[in-house]
Amino acid sequence: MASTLISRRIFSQVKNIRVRQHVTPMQCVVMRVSIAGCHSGGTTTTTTTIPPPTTDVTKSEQKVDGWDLAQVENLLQEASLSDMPVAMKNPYEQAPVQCLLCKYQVPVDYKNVRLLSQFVSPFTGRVYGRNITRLCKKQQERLENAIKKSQNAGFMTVMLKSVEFLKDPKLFDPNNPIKPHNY
Amino acid sequence: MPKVRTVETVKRVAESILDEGCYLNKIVSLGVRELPYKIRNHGRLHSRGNYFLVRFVAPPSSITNISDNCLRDLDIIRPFISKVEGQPAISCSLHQDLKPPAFRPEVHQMMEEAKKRVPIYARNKFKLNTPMGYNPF
Repeated sequence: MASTLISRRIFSQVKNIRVRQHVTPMQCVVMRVSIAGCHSGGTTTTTTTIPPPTTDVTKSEQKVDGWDLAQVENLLQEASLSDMPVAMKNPYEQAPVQCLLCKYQVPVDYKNVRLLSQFVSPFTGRVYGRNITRLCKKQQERLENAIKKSQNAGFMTVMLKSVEFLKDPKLFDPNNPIKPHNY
Repeated sequence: MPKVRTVETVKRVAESILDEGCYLNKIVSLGVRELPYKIRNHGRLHSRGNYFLVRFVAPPSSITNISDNCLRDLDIIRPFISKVEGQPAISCSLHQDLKPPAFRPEVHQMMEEAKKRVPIYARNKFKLNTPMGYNPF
């Protein structure tokens, strides 16, 4: 019971000390070591008041509850070192975002007019840009070449999107491009 | 066009390929369709057509001859010869393309190329080919 009283007194005059740990360059651990401002005085008697000892005591000689403070510091340091982060690959890393055609491995063919028409505007009949279709550069190139071939070969319409493909499922929202378009 | 005529046309095309010494692999009929746009050929305007896919193996030198024969054929509306290219697997770069320009490897490449290029002020600079090392004029 007495010890708790004493410990309370100590922590009322606490000094926080920053100790820099040896960790990876970007990390910096802040360790708090509380050291009492002055010695714990016992419960004072009524008749004689014992003057509290001076606070000019070096750190190494301070003792609290029978614990050598330097020892405590060392113990805390060791404990924190053993708790250091382990070098490992980021476990929260998400799979890289893939474009539609890459994700589902869809072959782009000039004969597949329905697929090609999905990337064409129903208003102007033009191919949507990469900012709208959200395809990677190579796939977009492939798509555009396939569309040109298809139009040349007499498979795909040029000036507009064929009526039979107007109700096909939308692969992207043309009103929500990655980069705003000029029109 | 009556069916007999279409068969004859296909045969003609196949024969022209074989006459060039090329190998015919496959002939597939893709059916009768309305054309995506009206095609004018040999003085006539067409809106419907029979689609055929002919697979063949030929050296590049004979392809011009084959296409020439097809163009002269009155029954063929639009001949189209294209190379059968396999689709190599693409490693999707979308996760990099979505990054802001400063973090895109594409943009870094462009910047490096720009550094290697001769700057505009040095491009048309007159180069003295004399051993003097200075311009005497």
